[in-house]
Amino acid sequence: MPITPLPPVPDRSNPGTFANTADAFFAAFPTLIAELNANPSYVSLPRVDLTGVSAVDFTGLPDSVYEMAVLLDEVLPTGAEQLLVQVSTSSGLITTGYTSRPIHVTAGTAAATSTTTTGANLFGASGSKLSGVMMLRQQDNKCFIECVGALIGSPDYTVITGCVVNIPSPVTAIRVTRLGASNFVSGFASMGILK
Amino acid sequence: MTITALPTSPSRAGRPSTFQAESAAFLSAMPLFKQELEGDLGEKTADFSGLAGVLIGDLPAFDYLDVSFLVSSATAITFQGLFQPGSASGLLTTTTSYRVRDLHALNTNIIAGNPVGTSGARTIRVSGSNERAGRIRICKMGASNVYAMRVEASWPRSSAAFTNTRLSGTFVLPSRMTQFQFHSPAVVAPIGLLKYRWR
Repeated sequence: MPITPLPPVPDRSNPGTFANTADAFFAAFPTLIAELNANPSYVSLPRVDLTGVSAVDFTGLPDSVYEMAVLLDEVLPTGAEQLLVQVSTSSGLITTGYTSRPIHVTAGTAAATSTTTTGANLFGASGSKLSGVMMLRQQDNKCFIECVGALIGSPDYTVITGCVVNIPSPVTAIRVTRLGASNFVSGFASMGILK
Repeated sequence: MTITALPTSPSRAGRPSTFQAESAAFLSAMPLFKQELEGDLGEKTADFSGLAGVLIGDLPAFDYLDVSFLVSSATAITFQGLFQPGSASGLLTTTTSYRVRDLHALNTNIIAGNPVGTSGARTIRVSGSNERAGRIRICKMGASNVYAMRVEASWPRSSAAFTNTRLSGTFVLPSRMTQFQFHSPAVVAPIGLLKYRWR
């Protein structure tokens, strides 16, 4: 939404109109602030506790999203279950068709790979907590997802994934869930949206 | 960040008896308004050429911070790009404060997934190259003082090889992030440039 132009600036060299022009100028500021607050260039969504839940949905994403970031802080799935991120559009949650290829790496060794198609996934390791930033962009009816994260436990891993999924329309929500049957043990997730 | 509503707009025609007081209150709110606008749209640069790094100490309240850097030299140097965020309590200098790991690659082969250094997040690791460039992104996690960070960096004109770094994770501050340091202890960057913007 564009910002409404301010009225003419009051000019004392026109004393006959100065007072009314000044009144109109100052009266426009509440609208200006409302428009600025309605159009932030970056939207920070609340930090959500994942403890004991199977999934969390970040909904109400604004229009004209340039880039989305899923922020993960010490997320601990049960056992060696994996973290999974899925996107929703106005047609619903997409649970198939993800071409995800995650690995985790320690001391120069790629420890594992996966061919999961139900979401963009990151490997877990029993007892290891995942922190990192997953980036999502959409273009030409596709959503591109990639992530680098820190999997801290014993041993530590750096995890990385790249993924693409077809989307029929713009992304309206993001689901953070797990590839498995158990709830998250602990951790937090949030989202940042760059417009 | 949300911009605070201004006091009642003064109206000389509509409320002449309170015009003076309303004007004073309105104008006194302008510095905060300007500060919040800058906080939503700000961008600055820093030149640390000839120095070991730079300390940025005037960050406004932000939800998103994007730092781009370039370190360049005619000869190979060992500048390692240590990134340390901080709050009013000081820079974060303990290893356990960083839940961050990195991964760096030499040519096409991933050669390590390693912990960060002992006192910060190393954005670039390999020594002996001529030029490094990269981007650090910091996202505040909601109302908490937990920040997620992500780094992509490369040193494309290394005399040894073409290499790059990816790094990601989180760190926790005792209060909001107000400063950061980007440096390589005891190593001077002949050319060092940094641009940072926040939202």
